[in-house]
Amino acid sequence: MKKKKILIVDDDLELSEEMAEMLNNEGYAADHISDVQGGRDLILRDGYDIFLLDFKIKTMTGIDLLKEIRAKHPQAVVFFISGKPGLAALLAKEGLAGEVKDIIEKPFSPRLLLEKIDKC
Amino acid sequence: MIDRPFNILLVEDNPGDARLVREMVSDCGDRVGKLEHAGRMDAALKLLAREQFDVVLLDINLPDSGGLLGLQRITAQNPEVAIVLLTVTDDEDLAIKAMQQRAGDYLVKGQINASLLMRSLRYAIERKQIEALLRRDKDSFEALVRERSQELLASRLELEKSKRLSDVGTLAATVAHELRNPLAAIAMAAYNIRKKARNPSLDSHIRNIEKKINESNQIINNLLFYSRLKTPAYETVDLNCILGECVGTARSLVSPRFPVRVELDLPEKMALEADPLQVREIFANILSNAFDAVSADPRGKIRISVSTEGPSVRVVVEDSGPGIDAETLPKIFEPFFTTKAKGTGLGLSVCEQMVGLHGGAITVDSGPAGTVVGVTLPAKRKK
Repeated sequence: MKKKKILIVDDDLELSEEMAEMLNNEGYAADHISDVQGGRDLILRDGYDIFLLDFKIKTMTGIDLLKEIRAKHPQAVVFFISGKPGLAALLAKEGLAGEVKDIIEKPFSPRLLLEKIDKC
Repeated sequence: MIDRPFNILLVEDNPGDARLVREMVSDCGDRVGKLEHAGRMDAALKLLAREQFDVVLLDINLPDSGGLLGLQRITAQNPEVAIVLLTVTDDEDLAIKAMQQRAGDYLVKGQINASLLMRSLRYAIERKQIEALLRRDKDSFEALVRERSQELLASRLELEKSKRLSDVGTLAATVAHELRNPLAAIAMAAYNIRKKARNPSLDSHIRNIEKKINESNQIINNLLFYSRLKTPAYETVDLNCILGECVGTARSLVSPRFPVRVELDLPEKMALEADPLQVREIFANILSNAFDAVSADPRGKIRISVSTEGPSVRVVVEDSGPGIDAETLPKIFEPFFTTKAKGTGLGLSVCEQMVGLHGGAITVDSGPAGTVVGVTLPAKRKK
């Protein structure tokens, strides 16, 4: 079975590295970037099945990024991984609640994240 | 305008002058109540102490009290009585001084007649009455200003306190929120270490790290409770509904080993004006403690009763747990005080503050048979 491709977008370099390592060990093909501006072509490149987004990523908010990704990858599954309280309400307000598969609050259990991704 | 007959005290040592005044006064008949006469200041003062007079007609040159001294002595003993001075010469300076010292008027002997005398006496009495009114108004005005100033000060202090709470709240929320990020990376790294190392001797260390990550997260959550301490956002809340939800929340949070019997003694409907989020936190905390207390007891029981006490609503939560010992009991509301291994100690201190913000009160009684927590909240918001 083809490996699912995952892109992790998070300011926190160390967190992204650890997440990518875990997912790669579990049989996924995970990339990570912490710089949205520099990695935009990576983001908009075809082929990612799953996106894991943080809410605030330096210059852009996760919501703006979500809109961009949706425009290019209507089929991709998007998770928000965020410590920000009230994100669900914010998404609902923007009418984007349906675009996000789930919000995983930091700090999360790595096992929980794995379960959710496995279910995709 | 004085319209009842008024009482005059004539203080005059010259008999001739005194008789003249009597004659003038007697012409006025029913406008005068009584006219008494004293020839010396000390006699006059004795009369003033014993009987009621509206006005004193005072000769400026008494043998035992000359000049304005007489005026001062009478005013000192009977400040409420009006005084009209009788002078011999038309001494302008003396007149001015006398008026400055609150004499009602002055008359020059030899230049008065009955109607002038009466008018002068009446006006002097009226002036005294008006002065009394003004003084009374001034006193009540000053009292009013004092009261308003105190209210203003109290409001300002409350506002500052509110702002301080809000600042601390924002700080707590920011710190708590920021800490969540590094915690997430630590959790991920620990997971990866365990997977990579595949070394059982490292397992217990990893387990400890993960345990502490969870505890850190709990602390963060409690700090965020603290950050919600702000002036209550009043709404009409359905207390029964909130209590029911809190029971559910507390039960799932504590996950007691045995089923806990929960008895509810609630009126059909109980609504009050309060901040719904804060009320929820208050009872979630109290009920969480109650469930904790009975979690190892196969026959654990919690009883919740609600009643009205005058303008307040009283909620009592009783548990059948082991109770809190006398040494610990006084400390339970202190922030960061806890007897639980996993507790942050913030729950009850948050409760107490939130109850206080609503103008209510919280009490705890405890013994070997269990603990009783009572919360009283005003049914209507305090104005």
